[in-house]
Amino acid sequence: MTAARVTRRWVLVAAGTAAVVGAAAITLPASGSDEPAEALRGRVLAGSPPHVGYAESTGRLGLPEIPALERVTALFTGVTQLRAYVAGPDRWRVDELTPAGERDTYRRDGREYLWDFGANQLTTVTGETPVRLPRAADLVPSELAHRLVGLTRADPVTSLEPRRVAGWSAAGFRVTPADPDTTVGRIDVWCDPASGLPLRVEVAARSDDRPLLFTEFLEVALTTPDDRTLTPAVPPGAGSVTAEAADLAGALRQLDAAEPPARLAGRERVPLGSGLPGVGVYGAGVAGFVLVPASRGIADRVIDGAASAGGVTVEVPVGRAARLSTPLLSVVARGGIRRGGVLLAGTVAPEVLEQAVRELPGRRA
Amino acid sequence: MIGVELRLMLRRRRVWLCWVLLCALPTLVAILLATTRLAPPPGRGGAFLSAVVSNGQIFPAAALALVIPIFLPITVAIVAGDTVAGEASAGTLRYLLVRPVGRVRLLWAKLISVAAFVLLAVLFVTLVSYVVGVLAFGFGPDASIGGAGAIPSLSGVELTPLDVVGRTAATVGYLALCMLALGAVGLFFSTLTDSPLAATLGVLAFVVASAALQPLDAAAAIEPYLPTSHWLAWIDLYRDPILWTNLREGVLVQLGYVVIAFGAAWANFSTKDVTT
Repeated sequence: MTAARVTRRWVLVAAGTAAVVGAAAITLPASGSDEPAEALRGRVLAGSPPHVGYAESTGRLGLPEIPALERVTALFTGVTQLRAYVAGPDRWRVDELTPAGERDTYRRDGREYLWDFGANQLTTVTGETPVRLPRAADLVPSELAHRLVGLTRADPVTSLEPRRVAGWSAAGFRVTPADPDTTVGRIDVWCDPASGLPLRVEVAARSDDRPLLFTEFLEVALTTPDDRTLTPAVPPGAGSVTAEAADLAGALRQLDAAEPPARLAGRERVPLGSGLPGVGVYGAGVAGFVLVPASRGIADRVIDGAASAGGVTVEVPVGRAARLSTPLLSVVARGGIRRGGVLLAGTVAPEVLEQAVRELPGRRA
Repeated sequence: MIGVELRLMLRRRRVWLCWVLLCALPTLVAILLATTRLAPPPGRGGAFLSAVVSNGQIFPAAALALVIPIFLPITVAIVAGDTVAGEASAGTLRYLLVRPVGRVRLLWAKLISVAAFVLLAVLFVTLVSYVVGVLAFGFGPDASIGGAGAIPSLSGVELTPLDVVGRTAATVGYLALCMLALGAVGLFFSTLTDSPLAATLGVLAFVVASAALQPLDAAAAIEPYLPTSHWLAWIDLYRDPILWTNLREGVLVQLGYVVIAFGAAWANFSTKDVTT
């Protein structure tokens, strides 16, 4: 009798546990969409409607820490929590949330504002540069999808099974880059078929079918953020500084880098609007790469650290060079010479960057 | 019964010792920071620690971030592990149940006393660290929006004193719920054994296992349901606007643990042979 009572009670607890766990785990099935993949791509390219959402991006690129670029590599090697308030292409705010604070980027009135709680400082950035380092705001699904789909608009697209993302029934499409030299195997995008708002993006390499970079909204609403939310604030005691985006050009000018070659590894240099000394972008779409001048210190530290990070030495006519490659991103650094340090990076096969670094002219002082 | 358990809890020296030690750690950190002025660099160290030197009113948040990972769970494990097993090891459980006291009622009273302990623990840490923080670091620069007493949110927007009180109260409530979930697990473990130490160690093993699984990619599917996953979600209360996503999930997960662990304690204790 007692044993039966014990069993009955435990069965009740087990059933309650199953109900609680089941309620948490159940996700509603996603409903299909008749929209062709090409039409969905067109909607994403047309731009996103105003929205407010919370997203998480996960990078598994396995990149080693690159000196002076730790914050950038962290975006592609870990989880980044993001909160996006988007009113339009020129009025938005994206917060990078960390357990110890947050770093917020605002864009409004043709300017960018960067709030860093840890540094207790608001930086107003005026002007723009044609090339910049990746930042957390680039990983918001709507932004990343728009950027990647824009780079691959000529590549073939196919439909994917719909899936539920952030409670929305999302229609999916896959872009398969055709260029044999790119490391990008597929770009999968799921978006709201009605508004075209991208909800989830996955990027996988040719050599590995698992997504190495994926970002998705966990919560999103098609609402326009209010003006107060899009206005950066400077609390008392916090610093407020202004910087010109062109300061980057000034910093690069200090390196006295040579004019980038017109052609590298069989790829033409893409003309950049306003010049950044020594910087060159080569190739198109996801099969392109960038050449950035680096101080000798940074280039040498990357080369020295390459061996411990699984990198390999690259034979070059002048100086010394090393290659770091992951399934999705390749990086080559050349150093060992004064005023000739460079970093090359891109989603291209490592052999392409090796060829490019060998073609670079030396610059001994 | 509940009143008796609460009085019993408040009369225990070990309970007061737990509270004192919980308040002592942030106090020590405040003294060290105030004397050396060596706050962790931005983005490093405990949450809010780099900011407290310029505004002492943020110190309660920094203090809670300090005690949450280890010290608070240890005290909850000690108190919750002792609830039923302590009575059994002292030989009082049998006599307690001889009186017309239902077992479910006894368990319920024990859970309420654990809830009171965790609520007071979080509240004491908050109040003591506010006083210590203001004494050590001052009220911060004069606020232009909220007047004296305002603090900056993580997003840079000023939080008025009223805002701060509301958000701090929500923080205390949230953390008390997180610790109550742990307390409920401790209550269940306490019904499994006559040894309070074994129950306490069981709770600590539960916390360590959860914390170890949390960063594993292979455990990503169960990570949102681990008890420790949402312990730091209260930090989102200090953002502007408040980010409710993780807090909402945290509340549901912790309530789930309270219900399941209390149910398991009831299933085990209701028919247990009590011999001591």
